[in-house]
Amino acid sequence: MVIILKMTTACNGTCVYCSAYKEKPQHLSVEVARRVLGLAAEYLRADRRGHVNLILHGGEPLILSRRFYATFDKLMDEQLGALRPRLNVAMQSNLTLLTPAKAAALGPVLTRPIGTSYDLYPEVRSIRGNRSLDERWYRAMHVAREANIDTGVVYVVHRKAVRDTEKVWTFFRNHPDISSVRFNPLYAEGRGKCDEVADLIITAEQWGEFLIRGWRMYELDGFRPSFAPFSEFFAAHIRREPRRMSCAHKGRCHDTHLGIDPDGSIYNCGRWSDTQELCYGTVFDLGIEEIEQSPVRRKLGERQKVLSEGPCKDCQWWAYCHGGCPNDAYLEHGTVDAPTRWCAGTLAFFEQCLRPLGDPIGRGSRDR
Amino acid sequence: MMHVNDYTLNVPLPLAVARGQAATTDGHALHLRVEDTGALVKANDAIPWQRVWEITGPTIEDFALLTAYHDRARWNLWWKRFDVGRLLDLAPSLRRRTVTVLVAPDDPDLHEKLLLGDSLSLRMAVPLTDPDSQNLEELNRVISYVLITGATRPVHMDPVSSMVATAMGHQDLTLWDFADENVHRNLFVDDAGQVSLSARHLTTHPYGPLGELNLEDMERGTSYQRLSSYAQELFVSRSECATCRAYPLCGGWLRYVDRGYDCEVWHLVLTALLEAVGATERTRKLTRHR
Repeated sequence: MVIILKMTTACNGTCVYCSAYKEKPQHLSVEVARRVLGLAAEYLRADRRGHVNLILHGGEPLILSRRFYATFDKLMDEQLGALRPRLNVAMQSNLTLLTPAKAAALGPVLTRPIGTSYDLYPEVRSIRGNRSLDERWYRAMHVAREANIDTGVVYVVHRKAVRDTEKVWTFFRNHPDISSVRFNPLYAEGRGKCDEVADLIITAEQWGEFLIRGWRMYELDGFRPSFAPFSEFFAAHIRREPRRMSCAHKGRCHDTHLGIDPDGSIYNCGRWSDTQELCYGTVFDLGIEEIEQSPVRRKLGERQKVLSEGPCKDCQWWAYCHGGCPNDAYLEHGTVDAPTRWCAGTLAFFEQCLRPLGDPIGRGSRDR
Repeated sequence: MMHVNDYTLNVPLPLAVARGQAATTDGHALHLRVEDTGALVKANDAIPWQRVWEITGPTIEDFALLTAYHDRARWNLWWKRFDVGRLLDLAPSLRRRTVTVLVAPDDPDLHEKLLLGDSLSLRMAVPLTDPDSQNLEELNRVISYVLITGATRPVHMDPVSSMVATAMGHQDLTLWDFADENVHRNLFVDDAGQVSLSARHLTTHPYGPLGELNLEDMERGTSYQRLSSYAQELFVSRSECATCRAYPLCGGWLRYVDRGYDCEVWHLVLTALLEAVGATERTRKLTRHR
């Protein structure tokens, strides 16, 4: 189970395409935090072998005070007790507010890396007050290293990045502070829906172009960089390990993910929380069992059947995609019962890059 | 390279043994530069052998006379006179992991010496001192040789072998390291006791006199800060180096002194090596999983 917990909707960043942007910022309360951790404990008690991966998300989660994280640490003990070792905690942050004191406060809470966003184009990402994001980011990376907090980069692929795929790839491959990157396509959500961002939004074909050119770089580098989704497709196609793919391609997010807003509203993941659609209810009304039985969850679960018997019926690459992210489909088509908006580009990538290396694994394949 | 503390002190022999200097070199591995082998023998008792890691300077012929010292350090020995018979005589003592045979980049017999040395299983090296110190055409030939021959038996020809190890992900050393110019590891001391990163940085990045060397002050100093923040600067400023395919081997070293340095040929040589290693790795991974 993966729980994406929106710690706050406030952010010190001014990323032009922010999907999580909200007019009125809201912070997570102690009551909601307690209840979320209680849900995690409930899940762990019911599934004796399972783990919960909690991702502290935002907004910018480092806006919250050290005292809040100290309280959060105590709440973890209070709610989970002996189950705590089965709770993994990661964070997604722009990192610019990470100080040694905050790193010390986060130390007991985090058990997994901080995923940090970064871009080569300063005009796309910045922080309030026209201050240099880079300067703060590097200082924070140093702080994270000193505090033994691992980091990985999440990169939002926009049109400039597609144009400069090789440059973007090589920048991250060369960067001494970055060892893993996840490339996600930019989609129109939150600020990303504004006209000013139209020039950055990419089409399915452009996403496909990025994947194809990125794969060429991945080949040149001997399939070595830990850059997703390339490394995931390598694992699925070459090593026959489809379980390594991300939530967008596994087609199981209706079983594995939850997104929770600072006010306690429950969605299927962080992206649905940004979209504010298909709300399950709140953490104060629902327990794990009710969440699992939720009509929204069932509807999302049926998507696999609808797609595999409908639009994706004859697709040989089903096992690598499962129709893609339902939220992408919803934003494009207004329904989850459609393939991802990236379908055409992803298919072009599969055919051009993966096909020459072998036929796709069959539907329903498990790891070799 | 062994690091007793943080730094390896590349120091001339007389300074290493001079009274009063030893205290400032405490805790650091010493890399002695020896001009005169006789002086090494004479100074034997005064040399802090427990801290000597490497000795550079004697010729392969001198080494034959230093039998008692063979196991005391790593040796970088010059091969100057191209006398095959003499080399064959000396080969058994040179064929040890702690010995590297150096051939000057401008040696007219460079290629023949490298191949002959390798055929005798010697560890060979062409010292790297500045971007213009290498014969790039020769370097390219050595790369092909190391990649092809190295596929069937161990070959050691530096800096190429070290570059290949980096390209294969076995280490993360770059031209900075191959030139002993890693700002976090190397200190160079000239004959007058002035400390810097390396010989070529003595005037541009002086750290101060050895007698007054204080690491904390040195690391706070302008010269050190400029060097140590260089890599970050390349990425913050989105410089050409940050997006250069040769960066994993170069690390920006070629353009540190002269930002306008024309590294085109270097770039071709280094990227060819990286691509060759990438292709090998690609094939290996595809084969293994099929």
